[in-house]
Amino acid sequence: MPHDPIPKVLAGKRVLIAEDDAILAMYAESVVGELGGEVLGCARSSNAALDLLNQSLPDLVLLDVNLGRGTSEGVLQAAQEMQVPVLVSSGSNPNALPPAFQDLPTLAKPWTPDEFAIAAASLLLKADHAIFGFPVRAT
Amino acid sequence: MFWLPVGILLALLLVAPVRQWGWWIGAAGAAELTASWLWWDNSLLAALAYFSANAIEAAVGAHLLLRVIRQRNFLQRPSDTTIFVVICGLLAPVISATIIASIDTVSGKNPDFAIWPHVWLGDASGILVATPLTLLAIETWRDRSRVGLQTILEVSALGISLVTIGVAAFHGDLPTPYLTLPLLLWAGFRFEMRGALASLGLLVAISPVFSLVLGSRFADPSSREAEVVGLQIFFAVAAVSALFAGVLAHQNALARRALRRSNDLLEARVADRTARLSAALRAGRLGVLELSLPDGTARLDAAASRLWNLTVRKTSLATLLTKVHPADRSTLSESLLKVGEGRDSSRIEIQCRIGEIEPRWVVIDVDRQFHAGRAVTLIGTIQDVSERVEALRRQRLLVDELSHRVKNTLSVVQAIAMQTLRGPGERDARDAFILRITALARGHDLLAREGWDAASLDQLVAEAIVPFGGSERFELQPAATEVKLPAQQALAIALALHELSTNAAKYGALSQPAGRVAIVWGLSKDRSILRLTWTERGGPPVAAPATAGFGSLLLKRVVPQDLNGMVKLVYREEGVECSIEAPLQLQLQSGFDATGKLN
Repeated sequence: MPHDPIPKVLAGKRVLIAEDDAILAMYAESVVGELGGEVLGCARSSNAALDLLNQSLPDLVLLDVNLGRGTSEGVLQAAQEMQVPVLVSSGSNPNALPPAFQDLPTLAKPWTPDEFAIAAASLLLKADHAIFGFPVRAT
Repeated sequence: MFWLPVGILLALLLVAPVRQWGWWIGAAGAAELTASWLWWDNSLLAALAYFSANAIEAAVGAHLLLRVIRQRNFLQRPSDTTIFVVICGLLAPVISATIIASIDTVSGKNPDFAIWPHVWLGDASGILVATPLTLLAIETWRDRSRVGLQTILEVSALGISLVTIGVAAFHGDLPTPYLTLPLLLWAGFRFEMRGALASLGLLVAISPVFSLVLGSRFADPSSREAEVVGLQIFFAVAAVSALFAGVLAHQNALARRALRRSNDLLEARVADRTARLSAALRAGRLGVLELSLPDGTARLDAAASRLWNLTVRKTSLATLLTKVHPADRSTLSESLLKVGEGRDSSRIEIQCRIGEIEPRWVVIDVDRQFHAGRAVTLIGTIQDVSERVEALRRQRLLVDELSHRVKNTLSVVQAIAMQTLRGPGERDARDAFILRITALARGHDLLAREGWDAASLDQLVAEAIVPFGGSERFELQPAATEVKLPAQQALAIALALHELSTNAAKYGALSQPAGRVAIVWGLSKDRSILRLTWTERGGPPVAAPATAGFGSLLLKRVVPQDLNGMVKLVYREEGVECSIEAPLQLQLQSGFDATGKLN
């Protein structure tokens, strides 16, 4: 595949990565970096993710469904309350996801940098068009 | 009166072997001559002549009877008895009556054959009474069997009645001896030939006792002649009646015994079959249930009742439904109704849960039974499949977990590549690697979703083209029916499509905006071979590469092997063409020599 330089879709954006597998977290960090984004932090548990969420307001959360011992449903709820866009990353069968995670933009593991770039860009576009917190459809 | 000796002699001849007949006749002659010398005042010559007539009569009668019925005992079958009555009772006495009447006529004792009817009647009644009696006595002697109290009582009652009525009749207190006939019939029907003949014997014994010792109506000489004839006729009639009553009763008893035997046999067979059937049902852990549609009643066997948490075996469909898990209740009742009303095929299989707390999964198989053209009963089996369902659930969990792990591992491999290949010149290699891993993961994903049994080729192709522009750049022409591939073939095709797409994006049709790829797949006529073609058009002119990269190596070496098929890659100037052929393993599982056929 001829490689066009990846557009820096995350330029100036701050991303919170919630991923309990260290290698995968590093992978995500590299991808975010290549796309021009800034990694706010890597949380390995729901509590750590919630702490990071409370300390700072990220532009995007990359959220692994199974975080540590449980699911990351609490983090999802908090992010949604703060109206931070969430990109779900999951290794499970899509129909096996907890109800709260269904109908959300999801990256199936293993995902490629391109897949991440496209999904993140479309999410951020929607968030940018949101007026007073109400998202409008980006056409 | 009646000439019993000839009857006794006839019976002895019937029983004895033919070569002993001379001895028996001699013995009988000696006895008769002795009696004649003691009591009657016949001359020796006359006595000898009379006996000879009787001997000829008995021998001819016995010989003819044996020739016709071919067995000694004529008391078993009504036809034999009839033949006996005709030959020995009616015909044989003609011989002796003729001989004796001739002698008497010649000697002048009784002129003009006047004695003929008397002799004939006397011998006939003598044979009819004495022969069966003697035969029976011999048989009884040979085959003594036990007698019950009830029989003794009945025999006593019969004997007393017979003696009472017989005595009264012979003494003249009753108008006619024929009043004893019902008793003879009673004896015959109850005790077969034995009873009939014993009663007859008793009557015969009573009559001479009265005539000789006690005196009776026969004592009057004027009426004696007519009375004797009447009595002879009576005994002939009585003997024939008793014989037929006896033989018919015997037949009846035989038939009843045969019926009882065949009934016992049938019962035993039914019991045996039932036992085997229930053993089979037990082995299969199957319960039996029967639903009567018109009245909604239900009958279950013990196993079915236990499965249904019931203590009774007869209940109603409504009660059965209350025990079904609420979530399955309406499904079950509708399914049963459908079958019952003929809206569904006659046999169905329903899976449902019984009980609300810790429900058990059961499978119910019912078949519609018709009566007079209308479905009236649903009969079938019920089987506890909870363990199977649980095993399936566990298996599904395991498969899910496994696929999760596989995908996670592939993610880790990707991440390691990302970290490892960081040099400025390694960028392309890194991306190609990551994409190949992703293609592999997508194939796995598809298989995991379908339980690792098979993946749909349509879906596989649709997912494979997504990263490369999807339907905007590809023209898909799927097979008429959905094609399912086993795991190995599915992964091979996924990898092949990925390599072809990658190549097209780099150098082929997908590297130019106007370029398109057509993917066409279908089955051979006998549905045994899958053919898929990849055709690129609208790209830059194509030339075969000088060196084989990993992609083409994968296509030419790995994919054919995994597919158990063939891949043909052609670098046409107007665009790359690739055709893939593979045996359809999910439909033809055995004996297919793919390479032989494809080459």
